[in-house]
Amino acid sequence: MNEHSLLVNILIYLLSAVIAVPIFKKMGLGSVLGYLAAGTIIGPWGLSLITNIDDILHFSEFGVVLLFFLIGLELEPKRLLEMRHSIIGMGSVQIILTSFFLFIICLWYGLNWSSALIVAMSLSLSSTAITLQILKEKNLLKTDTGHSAFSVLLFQDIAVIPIMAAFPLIGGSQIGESHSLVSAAAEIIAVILLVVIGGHYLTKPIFQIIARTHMRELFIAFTLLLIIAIALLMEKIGLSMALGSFLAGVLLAKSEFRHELEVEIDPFKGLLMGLFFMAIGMSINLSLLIEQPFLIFSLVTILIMVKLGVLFIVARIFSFPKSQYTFFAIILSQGGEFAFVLFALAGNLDILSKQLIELLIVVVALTMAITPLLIWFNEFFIAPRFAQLSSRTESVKLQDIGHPVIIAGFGRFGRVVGRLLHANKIPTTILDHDPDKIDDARKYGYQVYYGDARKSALLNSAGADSAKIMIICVDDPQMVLDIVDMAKKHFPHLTILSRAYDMGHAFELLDRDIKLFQREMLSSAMILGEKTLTELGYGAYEAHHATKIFCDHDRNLFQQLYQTDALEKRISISRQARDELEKVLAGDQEEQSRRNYDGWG
Amino acid sequence: MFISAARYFFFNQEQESTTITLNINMILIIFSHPYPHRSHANKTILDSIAKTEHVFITDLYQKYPDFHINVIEEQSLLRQAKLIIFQFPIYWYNVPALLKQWQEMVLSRQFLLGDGDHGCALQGKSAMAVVTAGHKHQSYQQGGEDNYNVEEFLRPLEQLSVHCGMHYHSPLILHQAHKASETELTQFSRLYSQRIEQLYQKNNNNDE
Repeated sequence: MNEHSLLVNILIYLLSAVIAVPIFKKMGLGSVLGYLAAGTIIGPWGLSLITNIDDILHFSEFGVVLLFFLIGLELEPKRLLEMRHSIIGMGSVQIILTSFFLFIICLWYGLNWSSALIVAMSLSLSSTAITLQILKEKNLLKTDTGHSAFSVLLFQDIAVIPIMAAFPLIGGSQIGESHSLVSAAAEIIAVILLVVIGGHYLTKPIFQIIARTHMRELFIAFTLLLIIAIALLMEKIGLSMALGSFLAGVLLAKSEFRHELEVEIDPFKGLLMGLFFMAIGMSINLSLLIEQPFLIFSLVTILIMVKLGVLFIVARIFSFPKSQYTFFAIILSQGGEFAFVLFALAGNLDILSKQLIELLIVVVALTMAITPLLIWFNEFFIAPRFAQLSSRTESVKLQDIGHPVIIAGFGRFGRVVGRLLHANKIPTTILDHDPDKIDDARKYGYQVYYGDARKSALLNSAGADSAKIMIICVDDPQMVLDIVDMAKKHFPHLTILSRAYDMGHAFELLDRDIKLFQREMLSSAMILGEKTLTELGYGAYEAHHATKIFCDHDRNLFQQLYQTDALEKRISISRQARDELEKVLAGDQEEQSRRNYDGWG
Repeated sequence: MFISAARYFFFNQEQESTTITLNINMILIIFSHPYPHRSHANKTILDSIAKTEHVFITDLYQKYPDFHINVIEEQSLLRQAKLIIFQFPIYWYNVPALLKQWQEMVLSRQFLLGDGDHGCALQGKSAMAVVTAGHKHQSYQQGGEDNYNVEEFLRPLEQLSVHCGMHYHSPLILHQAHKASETELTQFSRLYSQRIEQLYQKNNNNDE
């Protein structure tokens, strides 16, 4: 390969990603599937633009390492300790049960017991990369379901180590490289201690020194250096790289640089993860799929079904809310990237045949590709129906009448609106995409639908046809606009009230003829300002009055700004208006001191 | 007392209603002034009277700048009072707007006539107005600039008190309040203090 080929390759990756991912996102299928499809198309079994999959897979695995680092950053050691029961409990149940069922199925397919055991254990692991990417994209990492899924993944990452160690034993080859277990364990403990102590005492002063240079790239360089060093160190002693970087992340979770680290590393992680998914897409051997479609199809189905079944049992044992069973099961239902590594190892040890490995890689890659589809399916067909069913049994009467008000988004904002209406006995239907919020709301007797309020199908099942009013309380400004556009198109009879992020966002709502909006920070900030005036010695009524005058002025200013289109002009007007407001307030005070107070004795 | 009432407002703003227990038989001053911090006479007078024994002040504009009155709390204060003083500046020949709002919201029919738990709420209590007026004494008479006595402008309050079953006592009036000298204010405050002391004793004796 000549020197240009690297740049050409990068060009191909970026181009295919830039084309495929937005298309898939627009279709609501998520970015992961977009990357996978892009990979398949440019890969050796597609257009054959890229051929060196293994190198890419290995290189881009570093994206998963970075992902683990970022997750570690968000988990303080204390939280991790709190999670230990769910990590060990759910994780072990999942791995043991899944391996067991898969083992039996493998035997039934005619594998000998040692290959069956190895295949079963390898396939019992799920894909950290896919699961976490989806959870992150749907903003569900910090929910209970997210935590549970993460616990299972974390346990799997730890479990990989003994599984790998067990391969030579199962294969019946010479027992290891007679690297005694005791010394290996001692090595592992020593390295972890080194990382923990070093991470705790050394990194902080170094970060401080680097931060003082005010060179961003140096900061990034040191962070990457740190992560790579720890990852390699871990790999050297036979632990997973991801586990090492996770540890590093946890250690830095309490440092003051946490946020900066997150921001700086995130783009690297994103790009590498994308590359990683593309590499997986490339490794789907399409010719094999064409040769044996039935076999592959049935294996994929069996694998997913077994995993789903076991995860349902886990959800049951650990008493998840019922509405979250499906989501939790689906998100962990695929084979994982560790399977690739383990199969490669098994191939080297001659435990599994080459054809079997190739077949299984296609199966695993396909299960990964199917996860986003299942999620999509769940979101639009199973979850809404489930929500509808359960609320129907809970409140038959309300359903029959049809609620006049729909609230989209039940976060901090929507909750207040909902409670106010609830207190006045106005039946409301609530839409949110976070299962936890939904459970809370349902406890209090709201009718709740799970899903993306931008989809007309969901609104339809939520009774938008018979409703009068829709209140949009979603925090993401773009999503608010998307919902408005959709609702205006499909449910023109609905009166829309909307939360506005700021002035600019409010203008966009006005552009869409939404006149009933409220800027989200305005009222509370004004009230706090009023309290400040009072605290500074204003009479309470005077402070209230001053705030109201400010309010009026703000409203006028808003109108004026809205009529001016050019942005620069808006800025100059708002400056002018601020001067004007000072004058008005000063004038108001002057007038009061001249006239009012004497009369008030 | 005055400050504590303001504090009370902040503390209480987000809670529904907590009824404060005070000494029963208190002297309740219902103070209505939109700009107390800029007032010349009313604030001084109020501050001097605040230290008097049995006095509790409910400062309406300080507690309800948005005119949203906590009815239950105000009714409870009324129940605990022996003597009710309306202190306010007369403005445009009338009570301040919030005191009018107070009358409309707090003096509900049910409250006045009594329900199961309480008898007639204000029956037998004493009421008096303590007011400041802008003009000279001479303007408040027939043919003068203001044409009527200050007492005439207070007739609605008088009749309202009587209607509620209270004994209405003749008002204390400070004329040309914004020009009042220190001495005049001190004198007026002393008079104020004596009057409420007197009425309070009288009311207690009536009961026995």
